[in-house]
Amino acid sequence: MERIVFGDDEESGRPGRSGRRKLRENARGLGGFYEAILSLMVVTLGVMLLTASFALLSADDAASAPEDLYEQGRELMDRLLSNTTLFREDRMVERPDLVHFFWSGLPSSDGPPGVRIMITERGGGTEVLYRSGDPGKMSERASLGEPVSVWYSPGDVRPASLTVWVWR
Amino acid sequence: MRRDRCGMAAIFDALLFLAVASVVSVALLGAFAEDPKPADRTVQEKVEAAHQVLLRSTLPGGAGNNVTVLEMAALEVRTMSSNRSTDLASGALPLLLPGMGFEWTVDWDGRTMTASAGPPGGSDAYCSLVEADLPWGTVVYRLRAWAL
Repeated sequence: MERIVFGDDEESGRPGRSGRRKLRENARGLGGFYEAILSLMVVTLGVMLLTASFALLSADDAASAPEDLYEQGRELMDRLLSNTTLFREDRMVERPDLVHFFWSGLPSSDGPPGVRIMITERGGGTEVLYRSGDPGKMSERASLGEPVSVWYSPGDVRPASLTVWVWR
Repeated sequence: MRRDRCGMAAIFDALLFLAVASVVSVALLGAFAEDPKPADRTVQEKVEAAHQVLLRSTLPGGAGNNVTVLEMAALEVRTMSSNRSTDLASGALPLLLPGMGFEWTVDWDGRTMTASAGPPGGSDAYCSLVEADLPWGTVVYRLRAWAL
């Protein structure tokens, strides 16, 4: 069996006094070069695990809210709000126009297959203004809402939220 | 100093670790830090639109005529007699700004009316300010909103 020798008492083959004291009183807590490399590997492995976790988290977010689908919804909403037949003033829509508007002409042919446009008034229910596609088959969905005023008469203007759902 | 090889190894390892940690930190920040400006602009526009929609909404006035929230709030802050405009704001703003906390205040001549919901906002708050010149002075409407 190999004997480990500490310190400089080489003649007797026993650990030297100064060597034992050096280890016992190693107040600086310093190891050798290889021990430090081992510690470095452990820390680096931890950082790599953290990086991988961030990457997985980011991938999950991207799957739940795809940016391109959101942009398609945004584009549809912008076209709605800038439509002068529907909104004769800035974000002010007359109630009869909501009913008589030709909704089918609004979504573009290269848009998402599933679209739903709804309006929710304060104190009232949600009314579906337009729908296309089967929501049961949706795998990804994006929704966004914008505040609008619904004009019933000169003395009756109600706050409402116009909501667009798009899915594929 | 010449014999302290342990210390030199520790310094070398520490420098090596710092270099690796710096590279990883820069990579993480570059990959995950988002540019908040486009989102900020969109939310700011939405808050201003919600404020505009709120102020031109109507509610029954005292003489049987309907008045806008802007007019009603100006009357109420002057007389401090009722708070129908803040009640309407408390009901309408959660619909207009879903997922956001808000505080709507009306100020005139040192008097203030407030409608609010949600816990106090942090640093990312959006503000819309409207001033109306009325015969009895300038009334200031302020909507402050933040993400919950």
